[in-house]
Amino acid sequence: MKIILYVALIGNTLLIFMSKIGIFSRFTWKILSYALTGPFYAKAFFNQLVQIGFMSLPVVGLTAIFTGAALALQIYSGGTRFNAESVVPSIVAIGICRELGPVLCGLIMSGRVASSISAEIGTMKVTEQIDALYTLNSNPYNFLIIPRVFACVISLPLLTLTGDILGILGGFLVGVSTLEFNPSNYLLNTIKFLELADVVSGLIKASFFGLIIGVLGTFHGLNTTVGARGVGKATINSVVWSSITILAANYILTEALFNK
Amino acid sequence: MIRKSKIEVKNLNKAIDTKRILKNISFKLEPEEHLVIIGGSGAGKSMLAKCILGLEDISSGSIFFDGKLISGNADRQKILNKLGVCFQSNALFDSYNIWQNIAFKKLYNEKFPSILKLRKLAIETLREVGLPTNIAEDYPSELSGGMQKRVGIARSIFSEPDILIFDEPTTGLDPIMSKKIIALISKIIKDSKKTAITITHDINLAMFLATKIILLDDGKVEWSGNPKQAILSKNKLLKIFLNA
Repeated sequence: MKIILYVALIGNTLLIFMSKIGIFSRFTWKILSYALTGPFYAKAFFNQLVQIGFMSLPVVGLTAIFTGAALALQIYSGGTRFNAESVVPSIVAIGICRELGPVLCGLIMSGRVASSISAEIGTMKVTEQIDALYTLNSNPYNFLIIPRVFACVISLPLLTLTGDILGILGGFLVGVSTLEFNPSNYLLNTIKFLELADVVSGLIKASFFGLIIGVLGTFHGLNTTVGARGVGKATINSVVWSSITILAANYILTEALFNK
Repeated sequence: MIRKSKIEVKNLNKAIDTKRILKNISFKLEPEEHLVIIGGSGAGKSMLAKCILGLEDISSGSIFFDGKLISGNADRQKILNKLGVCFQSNALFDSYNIWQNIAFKKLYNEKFPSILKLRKLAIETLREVGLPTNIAEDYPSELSGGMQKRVGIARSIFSEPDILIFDEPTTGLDPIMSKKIIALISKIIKDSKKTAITITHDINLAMFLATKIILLDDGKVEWSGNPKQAILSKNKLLKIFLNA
């Protein structure tokens, strides 16, 4: 009898999981098809670009500067053990452009943007604003979802690029002021070992992270269940799932981009 | 020109998982008729409205609009173009000001909307629903519940729909404001001669507005008829509503 109960439990869990996969697949398919068929609301897109991209600049910038500064100190402290202090500028630049820039930007944006998107759309759902959009002949996918997803995909690489520059600047400031590097030598070493591929690969990663944030933020928002508790749950889920997915995707993308 | 539309619902069923929400609902709404659907909380009133609007898929049955069977998204979209809906929670868009809320349908669906013209029309609609025109640039959160309700009504009539749907129009309003809103809905429907559906649990509203009443209980039609028949009816649930 107990075995049957266990089998039923596994079966039920599997069914719920498969149904979630089905709902998510349908959602992404709808995004794709409505993005192709239109209409495209340019004004809503530019508004989101400002909200998601421009308004996130301070938090991304500050994180990048401090991370670059801390990274310079860490690499210097490790480098002195085998007389390799001179690698600080190049490792700071490569580390930030390849890995820390896109990942930190992705995680910060998942906290700032995925949560705000899901809370906003979730509140619209529970206050019947999504239904109202349908009755006003505006498909919520075209009007709400697609502008946000596109804005995330475009904003994240731009923010990451800004973060890369500011992160390197953070390392430079610490290198010159605390670690007594010669400013021109620091810059020369940064540029000398940094390749275009390092920057571009980071930006490619950031675009994927933007897609993850946009899709998961809107998905959880649109699938909010009734009430304030539902909105809270959707917000938590969007942040948790987008953060985990970003970290998993980061490994897969790193493997694909660098493991030659 | 007023287009006269009619709706027919035949054996409509709606189930979520194993729970049957609506059971064999059938009714016919002729042009210029005003159907009021009444019932207690959880009777399925709002779900029925959502099924008619195409916001919820139906499990079985059919919905005819002007004699044409509605099936598929394209049909639904055509129907939605002909409907004006005032939601229970008003469903006004927080990030748009009042005139943009009212003119939303045209503002975001016309290829080259004339902002000035639409703003002017929205302000005229504000007057029509008895609101001061100086609130046009305000945001929904700056208005009282009664004013928001009027804005919701203004939005529903702005694009001159063939059929008007009011979902719980007096919920959350004080008795004086409720009376004003009922009078406003009555005036709009009388003046425009439009077909209308109102969903409510308020029997007074039903008796005042309806040409036809449907009483829903546990997802099925418990009683239907006109207000005169309602007074004479011996249906127990209807009597409870009338005596409440």
